[in-house]
Amino acid sequence: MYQWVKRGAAAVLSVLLLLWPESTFDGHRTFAESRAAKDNLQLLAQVVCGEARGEPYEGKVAVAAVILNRTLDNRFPDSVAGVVYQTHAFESVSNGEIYKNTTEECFKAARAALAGWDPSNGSLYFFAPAKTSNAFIWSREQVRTIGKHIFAK
Amino acid sequence: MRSQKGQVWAYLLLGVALVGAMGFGAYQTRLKNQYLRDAENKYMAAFHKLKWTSENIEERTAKLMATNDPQIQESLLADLRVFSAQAVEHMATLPFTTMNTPRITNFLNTLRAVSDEKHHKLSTGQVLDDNDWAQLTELRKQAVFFEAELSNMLGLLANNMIPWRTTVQATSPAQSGQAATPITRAVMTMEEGMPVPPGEEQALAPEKAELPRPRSDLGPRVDAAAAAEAIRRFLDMPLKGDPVQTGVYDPEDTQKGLSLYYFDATKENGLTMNFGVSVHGGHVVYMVDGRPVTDKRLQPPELIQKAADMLRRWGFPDVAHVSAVENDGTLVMDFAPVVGGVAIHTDMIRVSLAMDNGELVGYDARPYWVNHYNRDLPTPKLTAAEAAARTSPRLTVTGEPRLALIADRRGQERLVWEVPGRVEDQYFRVFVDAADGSEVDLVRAVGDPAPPQ
Repeated sequence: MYQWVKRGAAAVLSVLLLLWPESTFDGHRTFAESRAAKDNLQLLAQVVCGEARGEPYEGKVAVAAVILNRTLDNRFPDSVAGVVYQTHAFESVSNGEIYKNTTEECFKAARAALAGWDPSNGSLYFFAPAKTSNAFIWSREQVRTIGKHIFAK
Repeated sequence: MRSQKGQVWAYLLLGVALVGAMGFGAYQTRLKNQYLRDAENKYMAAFHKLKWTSENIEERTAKLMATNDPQIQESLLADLRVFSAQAVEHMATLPFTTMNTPRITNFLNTLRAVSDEKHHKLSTGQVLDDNDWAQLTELRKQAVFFEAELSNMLGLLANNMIPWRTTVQATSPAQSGQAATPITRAVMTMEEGMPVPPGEEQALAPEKAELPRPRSDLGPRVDAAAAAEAIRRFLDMPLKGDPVQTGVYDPEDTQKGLSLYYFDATKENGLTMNFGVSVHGGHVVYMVDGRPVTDKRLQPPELIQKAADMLRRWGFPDVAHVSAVENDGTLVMDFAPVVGGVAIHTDMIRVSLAMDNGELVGYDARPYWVNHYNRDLPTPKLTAAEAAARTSPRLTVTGEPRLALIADRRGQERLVWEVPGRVEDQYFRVFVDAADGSEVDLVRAVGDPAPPQ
């Protein structure tokens, strides 16, 4: 008798397990919920916070957009991780700032950039004018200033 | 006697503390050395990968010069496309960012673009002409030099006498100043010696990103006050104060791209929205609002309807809904303007509405204002049913195909039938050329790396 109860329970459990993926799949999984986007999202949000903590929301979206613009440009690696971890490319990666607290606003800005918004207008670089005297970065065509960052092509 | 005993204990304690401190110090030093060694190994691995990639590039370009078979040429060009992309990745891992190396960068970028272009030419039944071979010959010269210089560098590095650490710590002046390292000197030697193709001698700086100019006249130039007024009309909601101009891009049309005024506008509740308004015509081109949305009270169908109503009010009377994805409490929707029954995907407009109250939180019509012009659309030669029949037998067609104009992967506009379909639990939109029935592109509705354009 006890064995039959066990077998029955196992059968019910198996059916539930079989049905589980179907019952959780809503048929409309979105871009933002997909695994690839989530993986990029975390890293993008970290860099946004590392590079643009204290900047206005639009500036945060623009920083994330610059990283995504780089992935589409032949001069830079094709992946978000490749761009972010390019040696010396981002100060916040070199000094570990990206591993500090990542706020909800940084996630939101990263999501907006992943969904296509680009307040940087196609920029490939950004820099804080007060902090850099690098001749190369100053030679780029400046697109706009948001907060303390200049965005350039 | 007692004081002697006390002294012994004190010395013993001191000795134990000393030994402990030494042990801890040795452990820390070991850890530090391990980290330094790991970092050195990481750079050496990246350098070896770059070297290996350069060998492959050199070999493929050599074989390309020697073969007359289009299929082998195509295969070699496909390899070159991959290896040049890999070389860019490996270069990015090495601490070369502080050095200005436009010739090396241009070589790898050009190799990638040229191999891609020639591969496409061959795969579409064309043959490579004299100009193509001249371009490839120049790239071959550069590939040989690149590989040889990396070999020299490998000789320098492989004896392990020159660590990467000093180069990693170097800053911009390192390329020529006192802080130069053997590695930076070797890289700069390679940069200076890289053969430059005829006519590109002056191309020493990497090209700037090209932004397309609008394809049609957007209207007369407007001033910032008119742009602010356009924002008020666009929003149809009370604002706290006037929109404030925060910048302007290329007001005199001297550069490439869409000339824009940038504005901030504040809602009555104090939250800020950011706007871009075209200098020509004063059209609101984009809007972004970062307010948090926590509730999801509204369903996609009603938000899609609401967005279509908004677009009608903004001057887009006939739009086709293309896609909708939930993103952070908002619904991001793409709409293609419809002209003569054809959904123009190249002129896509993106609208984002909050799922709590349906408020507009994002708008991006940049593709529309850049790409839109009055097109002479061709007549389809295939029917919808014929197009659906051309799709994969593994694809279950889930809806009625519709006519669309899309840009193919090379930016060419093509009239297509957009066929919605499903393979297992994955949904796709397959674009079948309305003239010859070939598949131009396909978009996966779930988990694509970017929302459909």
